[in-house]
Amino acid sequence: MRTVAVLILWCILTWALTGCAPSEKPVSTDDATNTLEVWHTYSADSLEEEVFETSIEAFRRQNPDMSVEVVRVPFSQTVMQFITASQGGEAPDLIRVADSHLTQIGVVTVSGVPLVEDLRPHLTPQQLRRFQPLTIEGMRMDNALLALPASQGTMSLLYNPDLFAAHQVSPPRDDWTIDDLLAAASAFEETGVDGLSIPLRWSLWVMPFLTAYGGDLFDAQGDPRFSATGFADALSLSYALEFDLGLVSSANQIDASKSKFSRGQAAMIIEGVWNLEDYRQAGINVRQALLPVHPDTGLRMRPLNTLIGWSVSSQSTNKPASVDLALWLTGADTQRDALNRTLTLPTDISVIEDAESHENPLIAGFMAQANHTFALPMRRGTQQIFLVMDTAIELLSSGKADPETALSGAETEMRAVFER
Amino acid sequence: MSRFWISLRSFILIVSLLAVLSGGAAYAQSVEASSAEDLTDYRRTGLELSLSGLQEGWSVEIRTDQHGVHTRIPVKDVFGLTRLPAEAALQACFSDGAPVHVDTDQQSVIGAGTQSLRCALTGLRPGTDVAVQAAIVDETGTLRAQSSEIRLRTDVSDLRLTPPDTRPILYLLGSILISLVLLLSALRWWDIRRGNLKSRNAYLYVGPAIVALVLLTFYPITYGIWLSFTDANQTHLGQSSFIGLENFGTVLMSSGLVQVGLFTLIWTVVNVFLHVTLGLLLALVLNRETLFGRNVYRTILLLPWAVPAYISVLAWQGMLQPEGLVNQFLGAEANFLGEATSARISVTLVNAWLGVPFMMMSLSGAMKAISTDMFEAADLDGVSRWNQFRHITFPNLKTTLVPLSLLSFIWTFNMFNTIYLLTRGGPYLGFGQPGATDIMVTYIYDVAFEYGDYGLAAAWSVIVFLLLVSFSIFYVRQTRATEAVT
Amino acid sequence: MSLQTASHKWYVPFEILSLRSVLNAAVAMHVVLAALELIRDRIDLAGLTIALAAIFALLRWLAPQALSGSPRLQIVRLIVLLSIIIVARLTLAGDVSGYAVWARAWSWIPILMVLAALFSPYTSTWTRQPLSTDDLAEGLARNRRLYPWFQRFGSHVLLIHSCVLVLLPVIWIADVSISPGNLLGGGIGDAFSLEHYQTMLGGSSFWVWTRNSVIVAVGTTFFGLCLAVPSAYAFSRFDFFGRRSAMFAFIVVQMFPGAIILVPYFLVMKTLGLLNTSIGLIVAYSVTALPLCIWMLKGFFDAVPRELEEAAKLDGCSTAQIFLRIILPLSIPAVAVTGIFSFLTAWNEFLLALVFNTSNDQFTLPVGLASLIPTDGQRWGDFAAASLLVSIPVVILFILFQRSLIQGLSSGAVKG
Repeated sequence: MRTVAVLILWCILTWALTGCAPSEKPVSTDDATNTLEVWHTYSADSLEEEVFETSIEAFRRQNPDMSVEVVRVPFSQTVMQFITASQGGEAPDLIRVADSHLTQIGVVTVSGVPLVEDLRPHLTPQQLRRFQPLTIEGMRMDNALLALPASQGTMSLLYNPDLFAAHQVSPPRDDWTIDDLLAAASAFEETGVDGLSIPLRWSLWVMPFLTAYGGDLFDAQGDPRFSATGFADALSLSYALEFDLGLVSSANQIDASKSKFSRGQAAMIIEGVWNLEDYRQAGINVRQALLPVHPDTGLRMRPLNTLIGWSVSSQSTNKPASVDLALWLTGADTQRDALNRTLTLPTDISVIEDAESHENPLIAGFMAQANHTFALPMRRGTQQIFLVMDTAIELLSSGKADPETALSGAETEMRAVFER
Repeated sequence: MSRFWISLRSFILIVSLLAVLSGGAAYAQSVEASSAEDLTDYRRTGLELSLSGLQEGWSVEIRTDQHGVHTRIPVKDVFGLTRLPAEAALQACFSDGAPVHVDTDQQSVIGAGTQSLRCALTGLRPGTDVAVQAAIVDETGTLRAQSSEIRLRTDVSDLRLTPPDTRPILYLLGSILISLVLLLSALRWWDIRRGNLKSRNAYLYVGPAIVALVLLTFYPITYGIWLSFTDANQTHLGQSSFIGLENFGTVLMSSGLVQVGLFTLIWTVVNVFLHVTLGLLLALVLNRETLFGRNVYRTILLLPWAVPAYISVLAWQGMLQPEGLVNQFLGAEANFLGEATSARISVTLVNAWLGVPFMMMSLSGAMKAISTDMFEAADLDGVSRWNQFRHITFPNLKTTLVPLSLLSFIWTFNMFNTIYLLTRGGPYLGFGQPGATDIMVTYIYDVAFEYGDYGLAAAWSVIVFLLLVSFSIFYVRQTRATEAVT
Repeated sequence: MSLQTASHKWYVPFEILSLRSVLNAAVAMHVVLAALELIRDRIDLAGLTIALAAIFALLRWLAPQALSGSPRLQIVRLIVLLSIIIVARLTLAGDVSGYAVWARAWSWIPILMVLAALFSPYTSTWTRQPLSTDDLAEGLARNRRLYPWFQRFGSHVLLIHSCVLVLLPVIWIADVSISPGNLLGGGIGDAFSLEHYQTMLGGSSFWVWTRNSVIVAVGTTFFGLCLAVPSAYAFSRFDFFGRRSAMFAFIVVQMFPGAIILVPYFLVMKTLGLLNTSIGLIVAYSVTALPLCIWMLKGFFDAVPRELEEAAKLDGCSTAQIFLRIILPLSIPAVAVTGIFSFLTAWNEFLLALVFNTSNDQFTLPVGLASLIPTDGQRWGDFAAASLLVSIPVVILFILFQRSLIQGLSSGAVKG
């Protein structure tokens, strides 16, 4: 009893004393500072970080009155770190975000103010014309332009020409159909080499098949249409590839496939441009071809296209300068540097032209593949599609549902996610 | 003659008609600029143009002294193009009173007959005067008409997210400090009056720890509890309103509750059991002083504790892949983390791997404290090892085991890293359901950061908190009944 | 026919004594092996393994009595024959791999021990009735000689198995860290390159992270102890009002899941001006480690005899003097152990270190390691090298403090 009495006494004391606090006045933040804090998410001590630092250095030289503070933030923690810091009033001026981050960050408002700035009032139409229109659209959510796109990323079909030559299989071509792909994959069956190595338990790798069989995953309004015809066939195919044909391993991580490919134990892989450097280091020969088309629908397999760009925090005390820096970091020079040094696919129209006719055929090939990709709608909860699709795949592979039920369940769930 | 005049008249007519039609282009292109106050805003100023004589293929250019060419709107055939609402367009522009058309690249275009254009000029320096001039340019870039330069102004009003005011928290912390000091002094006085002079300095010893603890955790936990009664959601942070017990209702009604609750319980009990039994077993074996290489063994067995958990968990994740080390050793291709049952077993075993060393360490210390005389006597009496353990070791360890197992229970219940890093709660076997390996804390994380439902996540947290508190009270009472703990 | 005589209870030959334990272990092991065979998708082998487990269980149940020449002995012989056939079948079915060798060793050794027991002269002497005094004396002497060896052997088997399990991830990380390239794969030890260590140690970031981690961990150890030692002493020695509730309160605080209270915690830190400082993390970690430290230290202090204090008090020492001059020096090992707990808490923590620090100069190792992970994929090699480098100081610390760790724990251990 006395313990309770003491506790109550203490609580009353605390609250009474807090009540003495003077009524709060908002702190004035009118003075624009000349310091910009930039959060980037490049991997520590990587070449990408170095290219970024070079660009920042050049900006500093051009704007000697501005001081730029660079902070590295773990990429996987971007969203949580940014939202927490924003709520605590410690947000940076500029932050590097992926489009998937924006679907999470873009919906957050604190006291009615969104966390990231709508960049439309900050940029002239001529400044925006420099970018490929699709990449600008890919950074828009609820009409607002939440970030300036700096790079895009996509997957394509990579193959090891030496393995194809050694086993006398004709190598992939841009006009291949899915049947050709599967035929080539099965041609390796007896050789001890995997024909095609992709993690088909991961929806990211199933999506290209889905788009070839059934077209877009989302309609023009951004609503899911997973139960449309064709998708179920694609899902059955991916199931068959894993369980009946045994063409691909059942890993739900890409690492296993990557290591097989890099050791010359897999002839083909569907992978991003960002791994080319690793394969080059592993000393294998890599060529690229567009993902194949569906023989009947004529639709090409389209992987997900992801964008990464720069957002301005609405907490920034010097938004014009932040926007200038964002423009600089997405500028043609910076993008060209990144393209040539780190194989980063550009968003600037003039740099895209360079990339399309690049001396490195892999870059040109990936740029061509970028025209055959799809983007997720920029809506709150979009990133849940991976969870939803993974669940559908899991239901299928554990025998709990047939493809149709799994997909219609996925569609219902996706709609529920959007409405939540 | 008359024929000639007629021909001449018709010629003049045709020429003048032509002059009106084509020469209109030559003479009648004009552009007038004026301010459109209603479109002026932060970094934006409104411009109104009255235009005439536009031709397809040409474009309207707006130049400012801050950017040079600011906007270039092509004149095109707008048939079939849609007018995009101004709030949806990249730049808010109206032609002849309605939002401008946009082409397939989302760029604004106007038709040849456009007479007026009103645009919000974006990207200007806030709070400055800007010189603006509009022009009509043909396909070769030749200037066809130009307005006079006008000066427009932008606003400074900016919608900025103001950092939260920390002063109330400062006062709260201050009052916590003061009231704690007052409280501890009161308690001291109380104790002295009660005649407990011997312990009168106790509060001085405990004081710093209590102050540090309460100062740092009182506000966060109170805030967390308060949050659970609100509709706090990432879409309106800082504007949440009190909704009573609704969140708790949602939690209790949610279809995932039984699954998550059950797995959390199994996960915790199995883990604590494994920690205690394996820790005890290893501690018993290592307790033998004559054992060769005892220190080497012990150092190795302590490794899981010394290596940061997130590293070893990531290593296990790599090893449990279908092509990972475990499968290589077994010559199998099992997808341990991909199937529900095996994933559940895997996360539990990995967590056991992480937790056993701490238990082993603490128990071997406690075991050393048991007087060896008892074992010697038992040996002489021919008591079997098992009976020695049951009747000597275990009863003596009980006072250590009770708090240790309680701590282990709480830690395991709230063990976020292992599951999050290994499976992220997956595999998921139902839409909108928690994953097969989701325990309460990992699910709370998803609710908070994936769904942004802070109120609901807080309600889950409070439920976890209450469960653990009541369990601990029950456990401590129960064990206190049998022996004097604390 | 009975072996229930007193002498038979008094003396059981070594073969049978050890056979019991071996068969117990073998039964358990074969259940595990059967599960592993299921994972390998060899249902036939799993069935055989389970059958073997059942046979061993049967033998364990029959073992002492059945060896006495009764009809049961025939059954035992038959069963042993059957088990040999099964194991032979299993051996032939298995490929030559580490797993097969290990698994078959677990099948053959119990069988060999059963055979040894069947044909051992000591067993036949023992089964002969009645036992002579000489036999008894000789047998007991032999047991005393052999049984400790057997126990030691058993301990080593158990410990080696545990050590392998413990070392597996470490070996894996070590292998990844010395494999060239940043992709996973390859067998253990098939390639060697120090490039990842060069990358990590050559860059400046790693050293900054290490420096911060050391500062924070040492600071936490020190500050945590400053808070925990006096209060643990008070909890142990003084009977003051609210003692039990206070002890309980320390642990209650840990029960609230952390995810949801990050923002208010951040605000508290900001209010105190502790963001982007080592001190902020030190204070936060000290509080995190408090409950365990206090509970542990209280156990140690409880074990220090009170007579010492009473003697000192008679000499006119104040409480503070007693604490500082007598109790504290006595419990140095215990304090060291508690210090290591605090150190590890600080060394390994990730979330708070991430959220409270947005300055690269303040990154600790866990956050630094997380920032090695690129946008797409994973720099496995660099990550592994850094991981090993992170663990090495802690392992060295453990080896150095090993003695004091055990001593400290033995002088009182954790008591509630």
